[in-house]
Amino acid sequence: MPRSKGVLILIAALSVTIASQSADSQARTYEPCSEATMARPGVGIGYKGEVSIDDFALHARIPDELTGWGGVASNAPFHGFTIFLDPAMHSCIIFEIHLRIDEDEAPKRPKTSKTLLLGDATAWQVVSSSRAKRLINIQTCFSFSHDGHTDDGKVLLITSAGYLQKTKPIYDTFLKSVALGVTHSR
Amino acid sequence: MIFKGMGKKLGINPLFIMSTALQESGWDLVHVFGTNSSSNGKPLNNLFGMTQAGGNNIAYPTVQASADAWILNWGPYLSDKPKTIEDYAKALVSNLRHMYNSSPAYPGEIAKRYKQLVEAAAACGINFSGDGDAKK
Repeated sequence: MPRSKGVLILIAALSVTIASQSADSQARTYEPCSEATMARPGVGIGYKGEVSIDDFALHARIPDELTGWGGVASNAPFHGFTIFLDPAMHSCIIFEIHLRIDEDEAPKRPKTSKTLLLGDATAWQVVSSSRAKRLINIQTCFSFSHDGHTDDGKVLLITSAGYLQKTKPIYDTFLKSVALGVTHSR
Repeated sequence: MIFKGMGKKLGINPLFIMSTALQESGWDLVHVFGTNSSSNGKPLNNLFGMTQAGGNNIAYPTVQASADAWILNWGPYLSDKPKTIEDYAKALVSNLRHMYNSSPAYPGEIAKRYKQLVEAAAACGINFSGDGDAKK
């Protein structure tokens, strides 16, 4: 199948999902990677391969050949990282996690979102797009309660429509590796 | 009171620093009383969620040690003695190679925590002055 045709089919499939979520979608379309995060390639801790953080009961695996950039000082709190998928930062995967401070800050789940499990965490996925900027977002939000508190977070793909066929498989691979509450040896 | 002492040392409103602790450890101070594989079953005593090179939270021998380490690491970025919570939050992300948080939403989140603390302090009849002193 020609690459352009494959991209069109993928976008069409996602559009069906977007349309079904338009009535109650809580997803917002994010700005380009450069505005959605202050992390930059080469700045801060560079995460490669397996990542385990006890305090969030988190385990994930960054795909081969890629790096998750924390973007913060080496001793700063861990709140995730950004995997840049191309040098120009057109596409990226932002992984973010934080402690829920107040119950009214629990993420609102859109009714039509797709349900997933990330380890022991409940997750839901929404897709949105910005036609003007030709950006597509796939956002998987999760909540996980452990040790008397709850953490919330998201795994967000920001990609230009033209790169979707290349970036979505990487996102899916990374997403499958994210597990909350599953014990792994470090 | 640890935050009062930190505020005095840094010349800033202690509620600004408490906002950072609230954002990281919550109302229940989960990183103070919690444990991880680095703490050998002892409480982490970690007010601010400081990490070991971006990994697990650091285990401190005391809460005061956590406060002292924070001043050592972040005090230089607060040397202009910010007078507003907005300037305080900006100072913590001002150096792109030594940021506290890489989310563009961080300054707004810290401002929200500050507002919550001001309201809680008022409800408890506590008055924090802006120069690092706290008066009841």
